[in-house]
Amino acid sequence: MSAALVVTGILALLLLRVPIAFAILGPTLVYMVATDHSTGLSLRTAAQEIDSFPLLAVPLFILLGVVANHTGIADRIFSFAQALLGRVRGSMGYVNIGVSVGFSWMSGSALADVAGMGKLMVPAMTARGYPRRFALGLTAASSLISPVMPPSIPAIVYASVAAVSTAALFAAAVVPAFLIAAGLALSVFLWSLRRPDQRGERAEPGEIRSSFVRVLGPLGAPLVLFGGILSGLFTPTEAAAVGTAYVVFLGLCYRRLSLPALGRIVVDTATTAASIAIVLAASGLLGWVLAREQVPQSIAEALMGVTDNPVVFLILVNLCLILIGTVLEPVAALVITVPVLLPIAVEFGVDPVHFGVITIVNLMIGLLTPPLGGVLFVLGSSTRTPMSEVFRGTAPFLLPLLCVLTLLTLAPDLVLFLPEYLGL
Amino acid sequence: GADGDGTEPTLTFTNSYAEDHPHTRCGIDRVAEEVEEADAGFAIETFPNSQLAGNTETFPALMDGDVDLDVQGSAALGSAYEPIGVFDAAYAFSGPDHLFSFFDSSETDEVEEGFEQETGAKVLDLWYFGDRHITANSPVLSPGDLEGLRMRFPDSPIYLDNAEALGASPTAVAFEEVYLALQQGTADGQENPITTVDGDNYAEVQSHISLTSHQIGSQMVVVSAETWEQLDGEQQQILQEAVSDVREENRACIEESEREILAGWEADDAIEVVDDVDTDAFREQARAYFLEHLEGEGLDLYEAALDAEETATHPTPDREEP
Amino acid sequence: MSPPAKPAPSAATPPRPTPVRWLERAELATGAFFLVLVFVLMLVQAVQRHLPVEGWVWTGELARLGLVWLAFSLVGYLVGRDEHLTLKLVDMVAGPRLLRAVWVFANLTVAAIGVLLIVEAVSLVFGDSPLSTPALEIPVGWTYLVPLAGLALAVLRAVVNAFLPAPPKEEDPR
Ligand code: NA
Ligand code: NA
Repeated sequence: MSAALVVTGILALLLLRVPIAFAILGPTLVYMVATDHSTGLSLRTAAQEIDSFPLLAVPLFILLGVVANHTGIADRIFSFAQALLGRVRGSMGYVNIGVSVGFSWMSGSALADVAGMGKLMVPAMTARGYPRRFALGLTAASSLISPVMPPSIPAIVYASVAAVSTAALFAAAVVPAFLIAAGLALSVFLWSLRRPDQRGERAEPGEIRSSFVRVLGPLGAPLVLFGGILSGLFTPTEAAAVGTAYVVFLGLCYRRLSLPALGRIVVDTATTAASIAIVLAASGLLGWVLAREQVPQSIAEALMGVTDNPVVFLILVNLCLILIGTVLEPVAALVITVPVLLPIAVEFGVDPVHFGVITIVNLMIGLLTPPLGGVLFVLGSSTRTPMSEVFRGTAPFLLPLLCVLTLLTLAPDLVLFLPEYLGL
Repeated sequence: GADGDGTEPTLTFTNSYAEDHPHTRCGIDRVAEEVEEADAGFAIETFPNSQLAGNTETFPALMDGDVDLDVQGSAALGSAYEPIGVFDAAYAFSGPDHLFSFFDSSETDEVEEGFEQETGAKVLDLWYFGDRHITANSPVLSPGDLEGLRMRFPDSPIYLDNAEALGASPTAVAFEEVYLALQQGTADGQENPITTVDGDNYAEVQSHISLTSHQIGSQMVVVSAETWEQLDGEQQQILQEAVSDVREENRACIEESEREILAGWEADDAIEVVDDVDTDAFREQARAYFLEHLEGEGLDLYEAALDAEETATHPTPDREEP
Repeated sequence: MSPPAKPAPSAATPPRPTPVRWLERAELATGAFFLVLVFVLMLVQAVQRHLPVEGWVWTGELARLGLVWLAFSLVGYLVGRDEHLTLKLVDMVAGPRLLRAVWVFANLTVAAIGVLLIVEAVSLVFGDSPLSTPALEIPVGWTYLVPLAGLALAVLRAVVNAFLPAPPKEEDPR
C-alpha cells in the first residue's frame, strides 16, 4: 500500500465530513495493518506525538488568551489607543490595529479573539461614521496579528513538529507581526486620504494619563511572559503557566472573573485544546507512514529536478499553502504539511525558522478567505453579519497581507535578524 | 518487521542522531554498507535523526518488531529492564577499553539474557558515545563545586542517581529547552559528551567544560528478537560481524570528532576546557554512592564492572560470533 | 456565500437525554481536571526551581501525560457534539438528504476507526509491556487507560450520532 493511496483516502474522508483527526487516522491505520505492523504501534505513535513538553504551551496559551478576553483587557487597550490617536485622520482604523497589536502579546490565536474584537471594534467604528464593511474587514485582517506575534499557538505547534526552538520562532515572528500591522496601517492611511471627515476629538491630558494607568496591569502580562523567559526565571513553556496565573490575578483584581466564569473558561479551553491535540496526535501517525515510505525524499528529488532555486521553491510552497489554507484549519494544515515540506525546504537551504514564519503567515491568511475562513465565520456570527459581507470588507486587506508575505519570502533577514541578534 | 518485497528482507535501522553524527556516518550507515557488500540476501535501510519516531518511541516499536535495529542508551533500555541501566552509572568504567572488555566478558551474559527475556530484544554490541562531562559557567573541579548549581540531567532514574552520586542538585528542564535554559540562566549547567555539547551549541552559552568523564557514554545496538529469528545462521553472523566490526571504527570516529571540536574550541576561545578535574574525588564519592544504593542484579553488575577494571588494559579477544 | 448551513434546523434537534448530559458533564470535568493539572504542574515547575527545596524532576513528565489524557478524555465529547476540527465544506453545497447520508457515513466511519483504535489501546493496556515511564516509573500500559476509555466513549457517541436526526446545534462557534 503506497503513501499516495493513504493521502487520497485522507482527502476523500475529509470531504465526506469525517473529523480531520479520524480522516487522517483511518487510512493510516489501514496502512499499518496492511504492512503488518504490530497492534498498538499506531496508537502509541499518535499518543507520543503529543507527549511533548513544548506542546504543553498550547493549552496554556489558549487558556491565557481566553482569560484575557474575559478580563476586559481589550477595552482598556482600546481606551488608551483612542486617547493617544484620537485627533489623527482615520484614527479608529489605527486604534483597531493598535488594540490588535496590544492584545496579541497575550493571545496566540486569531479565532480566540476575533469574536471579542468584533463586538468591541465594529460598533465603535460604525458609531463614529466608519463604513461597516471597512470596520469588519479591518477587524478580520488585524486579527491575524495575534497568531503571528508571540505567544503564538501555530508557532508552538510548528516548533514542535519541526524540532526547532520555540523561543527562536517567537523572536522570528516579532518583525513579521509588526510588518502586518504596518501594512494594515498603510492601507488605513491610503483609505483615509479620501476621508477628511474621519477625525476624532483630541483627548484631554488627564484622559491619556488615566487610560494609561488602566493599561499598566495588562502591560505587565508581556513583561511577565517575555521578561521571565529572557531573564531566565522560567522556560517558554513554564512562562505560559506563569502568564496565565498573572492574567487570572488581574481578572480577580478587576472583579471580572467569578468562580463560575473561571469554570466555563477552563472547560472551553479544555475542549479547544483537545480538538487541536487530537489532530496533532493523528498527524504523528501520518508522519510515521510518510517517513517510512520516504515521501519527503521523493518529493524533494522531483522538485530538485524542476528547480534548485530556493526562492522559486518558496514561491511554489506559498502558492500551494495558500490553496491548502483556504480549506484547512491552520493547525491541522501545519501538522500535515510541515513533516513533508520542511525536509525539502532544508534540502533547498531554507532556514527552518524562516520557513516556519512563512508557513504560519501563509496559513493564517487562509483564515480570511472563502470557502472556509474561520475568522470570517466567527466575526460574522459575533457581529450578526453574513459571511459574504465580512469577506467583501476583508478582501481589500488581503493585498497588504500578501505583500508582507512576499517580502518575508524574499528577505529572510527580516525574519532571522531578531533571533540571531538574541542568540536564539 | 522485516518485510520482504518478494525478494529480500530489508531491515529498518534507526537512531536519533543527525546525518553527520559519528553514530550515523560511522555507525548505522557503515553497518548498512557492510551488509550490502556481504550480499547475503538481506539489506538495511537507515532512518537517522529520529526520522521514523522520536528517540523514546523506537525501542517499544523494536520490542514489537516494528523497527528491526536501533541504537539506544543503556539508561533508556533500563526503563524496560532496570539492571541494564547500570552501564550508564557514574564511574562504572574508567574508559572505553574497560567498558568494551567488560561488555565482551562473560560477566555481562546474565544481564543480556535477562534483558532479552524481558524485552524480546537482543543486544548485538555496544558502541562508544564519548565520555560525559560537565558544562557550567564556572569550573567544576571537585564535588564541592557543584553545590548551589542548578544542574540539568536527563530525567531517567540512572541519570538522576548520577546527579546524586556526583553531589549535584538536578533541575527539571525538557531537552528541547536546555539551550535556552542555559543561555538565560534558568539552569546553571548540564552534562553531555563533547559531540553533543558541540552539536547543540552549548559552548555558546556556557563558559567552562570540566572534563569529569563521569560517565563513559555508550549506546547499545539492539535487534528485535523476531527479526533476528527470521535471519538464517549466515545472515545472523554477517549482521553481528558488521555491528561488531564497526565498533572500533565508530570509536575512532567519535574520538576524532572530539579532538577536532576541542581544537576548534581552543582556536575560537569558545569555552574554557578544564582538564585538571579532581576525578579521584568524584570517582570515590560516586562509587561509594552506588555501592550503597544499588541492589540485586544492578549492584552485582556494578561491582563486577569495578572488578574488571584491572584487566581493562589487556583487552580480551573480540566476543564470540553466534 | 453564507454562513455554513446547519443540516437541520436546531428546533429539530431533540433535547439530550439525561444520561448523555451526565456523561458530558463527567467528560468535561475530566478534561478540565487534566487542563488544571497541566497548568498547576507547569506553575510548580517554574516556581520550585527558585525555592531551596529538592528539585522535582517528574513535573514535566506528568504534565506531558496530562496533555495526552486531556486530548483523549474529550474525544467522545467532541464526537458527540460535532466539535472536532472538521472540514464542513459539504454543509455548504449539499441538500438535506445528501447531507444526512454524509452525516451517517462520517459517524459510522468514526465508529469503525474508533474500534480499530480500541483494539490498539487494549493491546497497549493489557500487553504486559515491561516499560515504565522514566521519572515516575508508572507502567507504560497504565498510561493508555484514559485513551482507552475516551475512545470507547467516542465509538458510543458516533454510533448514537448516526441514529440521531442531525448534528447537534453549534452553540458558540469558537
Ligand atoms: Na500572539
Ligand atoms: Na480559508
